[in-house]
Amino acid sequence: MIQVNNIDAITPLGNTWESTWKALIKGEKELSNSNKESSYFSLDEFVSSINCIERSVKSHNNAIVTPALRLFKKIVLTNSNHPSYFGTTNGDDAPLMSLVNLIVKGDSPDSISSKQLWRALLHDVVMKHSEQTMNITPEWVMSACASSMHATIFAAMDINCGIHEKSLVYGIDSLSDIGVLGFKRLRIGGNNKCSPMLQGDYGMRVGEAAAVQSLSKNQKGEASLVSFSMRVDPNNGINPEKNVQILNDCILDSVNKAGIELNDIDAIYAHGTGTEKNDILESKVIFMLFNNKTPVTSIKGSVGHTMGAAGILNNMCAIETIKSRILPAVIGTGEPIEPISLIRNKSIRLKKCEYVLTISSGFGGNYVSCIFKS
Amino acid sequence: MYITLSKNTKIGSTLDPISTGQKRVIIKESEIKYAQFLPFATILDELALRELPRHEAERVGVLSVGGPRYSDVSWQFAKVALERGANKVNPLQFQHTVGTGNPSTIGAIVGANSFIMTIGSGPFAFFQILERSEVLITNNIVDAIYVCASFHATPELNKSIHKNDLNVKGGDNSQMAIITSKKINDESIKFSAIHSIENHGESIFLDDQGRIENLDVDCLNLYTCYSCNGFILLKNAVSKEHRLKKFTICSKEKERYKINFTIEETSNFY
Repeated sequence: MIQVNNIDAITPLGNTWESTWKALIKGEKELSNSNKESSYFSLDEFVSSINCIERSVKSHNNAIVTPALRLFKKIVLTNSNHPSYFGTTNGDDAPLMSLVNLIVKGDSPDSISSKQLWRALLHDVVMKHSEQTMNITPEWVMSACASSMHATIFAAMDINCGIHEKSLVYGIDSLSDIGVLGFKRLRIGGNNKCSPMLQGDYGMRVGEAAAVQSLSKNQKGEASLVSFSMRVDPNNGINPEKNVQILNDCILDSVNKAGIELNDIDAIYAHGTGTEKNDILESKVIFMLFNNKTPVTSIKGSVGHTMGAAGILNNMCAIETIKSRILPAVIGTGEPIEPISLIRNKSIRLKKCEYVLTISSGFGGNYVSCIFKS
Repeated sequence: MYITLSKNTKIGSTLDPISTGQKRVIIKESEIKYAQFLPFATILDELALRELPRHEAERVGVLSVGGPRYSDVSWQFAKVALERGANKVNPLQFQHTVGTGNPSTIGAIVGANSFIMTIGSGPFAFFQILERSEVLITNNIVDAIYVCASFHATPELNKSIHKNDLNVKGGDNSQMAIITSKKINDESIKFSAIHSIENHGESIFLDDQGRIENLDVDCLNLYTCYSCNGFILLKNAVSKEHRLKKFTICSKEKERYKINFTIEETSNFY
């Protein structure tokens, strides 16, 4: 079993993981104005000022600083040479936007400096910084919103194989023009509403975050990762019934691998984006497997959809729930899509909490589930 | 796999990106459905896939290299947003979807059911996906993994590259392989032929053993050299000394590749 420890996070709810968790269990909603330090922008504010270049790319001591790097710097463990895995949607596209902006405004491509160009090409500002501060090249994993869950799984596999003894998993994503506009045009973000697993008021609120966990085999952890499973349907969305089957298989596989029964699961952190397709699918599968017996929650009504960091935040919450037996409530309006045991309005304290299931999914049709144990 | 690299690499290049006209011909002749909505790198991967024998396996995954391969799509998205407004952008061209768009497209063709994702963001992305494949198969997560590596750059970026004397040009090519064995070595990887693109009369050709026939190391651009063709190239670099100008060691240790690069430090953009 892989031992897991929460280390730190910066989210729209707080500048540390501790403050984020406290806000979650209090049922607070992200407050864009209260967290300026994290450079969080509300969606409307962001879209109305599409030119975010000034926000995005600045030079400091000859180094380029992007929003993703600002987030990363808040949580990075300096002088750590542990193998690292980064889950991201590759949203650090600010340098590219900066470059395009210059050319669209009439600058000749010839006038662009090598450094600008290189950053724009590679989206590697965070990577370069991590190489310099941690003296190690991290492994980047990009599977859209399931990225940091896959990164966690990769880290666990490498420990299981004996390749590493301890590793760090980061989930990181910053808001960017490209990301925000894309979600808005897909009509799944933009109304600034998010009511996970609730019907009628569908919508997704894009957020940004960075978080880090440590995984090890021998060091005592706050909880352990007992099993995981991953599935994919590359034709995601074409056949909803098939997607139900695939997510169902994914969850059952992780339960089987953990050597437990479905009713051993004490709490579920759903992906719960607030979007119609995802939430109907997840609600159906959870109802099929768990009926209304297992408490279910999603943190995206509070924290927003933090894209590549969403998976690791779910995992961190699972560990806090195992430690404290507290399960935060879903923030949002409307009735549950299915009659599952969705925690509403107020956090609850579970009578017992031994196993917690986390679910994640992402563009491209990836589904991932992990089971954590006390 | 152990890889070390000296900083500030610089590789010469004679490959030019293909022209818009050539691109149109390739897209048309490919008969790929909805090709106009796909990144060109994905089209190249689809073409490479056609040259790869199908592998029947119960659990199939797809890994694709990250890095600048989707820059054409992001570039187009950003340009439209800034020139014509936020409402005119194509939502399928934004970074968060194109990152998994490529492996997803390939995954749909080959029937992937375990995972599709993009790994790595630097010159060693291709090595990382080989290494990751080994671990995924060893952990019994999957039976076969299709690995994709392709590169396509935009004319604007290439102009800037040229102007800044980076001596790196964005050629266009793709390479694909199926990984089915726990031990990654020469024999266990089935490579497809590189999909060669005419570039001012110069092309990359592989012989039936997967060896590069007509191209010198110095003639490959940075990403062709590392991300796309790195594995084959280095394999051949060992056997042909005259191509070893900039690679000092490339050896196998306990069935793993140990590759040390000592490349001339001639640029200083970091």
